[in-house]
Amino acid sequence: MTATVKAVRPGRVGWELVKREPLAYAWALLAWVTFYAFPLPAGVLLKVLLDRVATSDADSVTGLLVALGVVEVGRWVLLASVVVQWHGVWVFWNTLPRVNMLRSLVSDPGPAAGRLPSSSGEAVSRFRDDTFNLGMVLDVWLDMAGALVSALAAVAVMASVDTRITLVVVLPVALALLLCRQLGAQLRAWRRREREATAAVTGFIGDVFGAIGALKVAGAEEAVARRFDELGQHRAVAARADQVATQVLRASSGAIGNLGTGVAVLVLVPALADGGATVGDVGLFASAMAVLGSLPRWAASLGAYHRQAEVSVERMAELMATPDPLGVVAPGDLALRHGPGGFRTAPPGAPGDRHGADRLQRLDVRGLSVEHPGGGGITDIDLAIDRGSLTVVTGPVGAGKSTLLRAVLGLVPVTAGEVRWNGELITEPSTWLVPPRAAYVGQVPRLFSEPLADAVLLGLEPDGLLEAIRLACLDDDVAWMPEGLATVVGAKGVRLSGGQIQRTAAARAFVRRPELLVIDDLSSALDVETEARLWDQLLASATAATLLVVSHRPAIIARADQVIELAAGRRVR
Amino acid sequence: MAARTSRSDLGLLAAHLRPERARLAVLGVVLVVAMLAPVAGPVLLGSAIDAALRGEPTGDLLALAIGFLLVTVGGDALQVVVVWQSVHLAWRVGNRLRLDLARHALRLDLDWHSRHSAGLLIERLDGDVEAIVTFSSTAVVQLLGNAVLLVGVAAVSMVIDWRAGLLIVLATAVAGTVMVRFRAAAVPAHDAEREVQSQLYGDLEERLGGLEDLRANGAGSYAVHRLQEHSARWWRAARRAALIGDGSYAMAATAFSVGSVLTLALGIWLHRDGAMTLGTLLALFRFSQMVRQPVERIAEQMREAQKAQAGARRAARLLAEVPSVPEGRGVPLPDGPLAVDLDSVTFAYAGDSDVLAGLDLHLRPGTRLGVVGRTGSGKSTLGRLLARLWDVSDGAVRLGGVDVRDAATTDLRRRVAVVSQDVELLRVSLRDNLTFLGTVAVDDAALWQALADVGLDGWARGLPEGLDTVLDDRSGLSAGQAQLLAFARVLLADPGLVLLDEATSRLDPATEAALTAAAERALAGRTVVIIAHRLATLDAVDEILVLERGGVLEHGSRAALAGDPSSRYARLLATSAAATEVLA
Repeated sequence: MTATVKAVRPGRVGWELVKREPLAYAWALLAWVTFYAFPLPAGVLLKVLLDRVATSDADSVTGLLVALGVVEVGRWVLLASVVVQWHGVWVFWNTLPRVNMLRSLVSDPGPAAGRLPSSSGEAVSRFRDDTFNLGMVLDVWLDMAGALVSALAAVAVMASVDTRITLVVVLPVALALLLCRQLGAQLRAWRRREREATAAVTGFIGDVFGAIGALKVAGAEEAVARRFDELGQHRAVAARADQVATQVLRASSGAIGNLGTGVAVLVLVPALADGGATVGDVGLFASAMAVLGSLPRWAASLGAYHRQAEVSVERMAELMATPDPLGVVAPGDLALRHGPGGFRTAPPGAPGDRHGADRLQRLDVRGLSVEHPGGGGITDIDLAIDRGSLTVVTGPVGAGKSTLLRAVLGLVPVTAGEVRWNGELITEPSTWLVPPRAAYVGQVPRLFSEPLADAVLLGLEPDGLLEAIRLACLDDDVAWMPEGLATVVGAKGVRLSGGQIQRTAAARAFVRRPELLVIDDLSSALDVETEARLWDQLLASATAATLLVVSHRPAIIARADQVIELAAGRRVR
Repeated sequence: MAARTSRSDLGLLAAHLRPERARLAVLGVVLVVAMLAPVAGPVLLGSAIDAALRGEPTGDLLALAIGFLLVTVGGDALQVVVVWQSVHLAWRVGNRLRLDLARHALRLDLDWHSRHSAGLLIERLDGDVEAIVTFSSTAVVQLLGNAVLLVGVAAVSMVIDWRAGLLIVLATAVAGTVMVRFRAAAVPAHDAEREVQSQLYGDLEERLGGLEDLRANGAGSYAVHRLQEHSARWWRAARRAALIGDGSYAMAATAFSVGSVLTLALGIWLHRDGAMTLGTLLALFRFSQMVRQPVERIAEQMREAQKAQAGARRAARLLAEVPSVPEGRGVPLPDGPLAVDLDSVTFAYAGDSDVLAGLDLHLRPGTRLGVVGRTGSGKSTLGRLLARLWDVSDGAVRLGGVDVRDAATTDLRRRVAVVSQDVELLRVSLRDNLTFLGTVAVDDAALWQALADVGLDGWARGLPEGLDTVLDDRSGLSAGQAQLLAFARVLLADPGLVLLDEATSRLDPATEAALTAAAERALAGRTVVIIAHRLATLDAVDEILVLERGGVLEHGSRAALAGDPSSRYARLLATSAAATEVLA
């Protein structure tokens, strides 16, 4: 992966996230504190009421009852309104990091492949589980603030009635606080193990169903199921400890409330006998203990959520080009309320119309080297491409042809060498050599699950679509499809044949009308006649000014202005 | 396994809980005890207060107070036991359900998989089951316990004073009705929310998998735009679900608070008339408050139940999907090379026009057949039908005289090997990749031999942990080397029919020649069907089949067709020969 992530405390990251929508957070904070503290005014009213009843003081009993009713009902009315608002803010907390991570992955410099975890299933968990964990920190702050403020208020109220009893009663709560913190620390370790085991399971699912074709043909379904079961058992062991501890913590507030009430009763009841306390006092203390009881649980959870978020923030920051966790929560327009509207992009233009830096006159590659851990890299490649030429790269398997193309485009990290565009050094090829300057058709192209037209255009203006389809020799195939260009292309394109996928990817590059068109072996899924037609059409059209291709086809090599032959990573001819 | 008819969502969960009946019963009993303990609490409290007000001796007062403390805290302790047991149970059930779903999904055919991405399956197998498991680990048992608590409280309140008891029951009933009413409305809302999320993750997973394609085509902002669209939909769906789901909870709790205050008012009125002591009054008030928490818990479980129901519904839908290629009777395929017979085969993908129409083909065992034709002539489809990845619409496919629909699937998979141009690797060890996680039972010596046969032993010896090395993107396998690995897989399987579907298309002619030499050892004595564009690949076949628009244009011995200048094959040879240039 990239350089180590700068260590930023999750609290700091959370605070930055709060600052993106401060009003919403302030409103939620106020609402939740009020909600948590509600039992206190209710408890005070109850005490006053019971004391009046005990002394047979008939005045204002009705009024007090009504006040009590209003307070009790008010609590729930508040909850209803704040929960809807909270859900909206929750979506915001999850979406901002997602958008920032995706933006960075698709447009920041540097080869993106190295930043992603090895399976796309694992990558999705960054966008799902890790954003969730960060959001939980903000959420638990709300709860914590509510619990803390109301606990302080509860102690104050109790102390105003009887200080001595308050001290006795607070003791078990303090003890519970310590115990909960201990449990919380252990919980973090268990949570970490559970996360790893879960990632193994989801990664496996992603891999298996990504490779379902080969697995079905080999009849490996049962073996896969067995391995899946094994991973599941392993995960269950880790998850059980985590979940039991979490549940216990959650139930602790009620238990602590009961414990505190019990201790209060133990002290108050004898005092009741000799008039040192009233029945109202018992009622008040019971109400206050219920509020105080929730504090230890949140104190413990706070630590757990923070540690959890620490791991998550690090994982999310790894996906960014600059591994700074604060970049994950950088401000951005999300358009959640009304949606982002339509997608607009300018048409790509034509190679003949471009000027200045955008127009390719000459591409120079000097001393380009890529080191691959398992071999298959390239060493010290020199090459020069002039405008309007066709350059073909050829050589045996593993010679580094694909690597060369990808290195020129900045898709793999380069260990040495430089690439120059019209004599100017390209510092960041991965962001410079993109449409309209360069377009790339890889050896194993990926199509996305959307209508064919969208899969080709990917947001571009549709003007050049039909021409690109024609050039890619896809027009006959489209005519045979039931919904033509609107036919949805499935995940991994199984509904399309291998040749159709490659030609669609070719159309995708053609429609962008790049200065430099880079193609890695288009011939692998085309028959001789179709391929000849494609090259004829392409070379005759003004779709791309300059071509750099990998091929073994003698016909193409014959038409090349320049042939580069590679063997074992070096240029031979 | 027979195809399942669509089950109700609760029915699915019930089926998986059935084996746990005994444990559930024991758990239920413990829970009932744990829940009834707190019912004694307020009674003891009330008695303690009244006794103090009457001036009874301190010893008795303390006894009552300690009783109160022990009973309430003891109930909480028992609840921990319940939690521990129910979590264990939930994981047993959950894993069983996951495995069931996974097995079923694996059996579905490629058409279904093309419409459902791997990301979506992660949601189904993990996300949805998670919701179901969360529900079962807390709710199924807690719902029972809290119901018991409610009944206990209502009963004791009735005994103390029937009017107060009635009030408490009424408040609970109103709250309960509100919850039930809104539950029906909330499930689809939660369902919709999960659906939106599932689409978001599915789309995201694809974009992340095709990141290079996005960047290289300058389509980054397009992908971000799509994410924003999905997120905006999630925002709306989440708020809507919260409004319906949590709004109902708030209404129920309100009904409840009103009931509690009315109970207090009733108690005060009764106290004025001398019909109730202060201690009893406080006890009743505490009872009226005690019912709120079980109702709250039930509501919480309702929310979990809503999510779980949505998840179970989708899981049931997955299980209701029927693989369109049903299991065969189990007629065994003969040993040795297989004869291939296609009798008037017609095939079309769902909703499309015919890809193959009335195709007839007969191959003797051990024949090598080369299949050529334009793209879209039906070559790959032919291969898929021979491997029984799809069933024909009309006609029959027979291998070794046995209709493929009659053969057992495991037998078929073992005897028919396919190498295509897409090599799919898992992030498991090299050994597991070669043997498909142990589907093919061979020892390491055979694995090394197969690797040597395809020329990969040098690379494999260079790996840090040899056969145990986990293969991922960093192993540095080029597309051509991956193809060689796919070939090694086939060599290990010992099939009667080998299908090469553009297997060598990504290899340059030199490497292809080397591989063909190695493959010669493995292909000897088997029936081989080679589908290829590159005509040089077919130089060593016995027969040639030329397909056009789903039908046979030409079929005959290679030598005969090559020698006949009017044949299509001869003309194709001429076209490619004219463009051939021998590389130095």
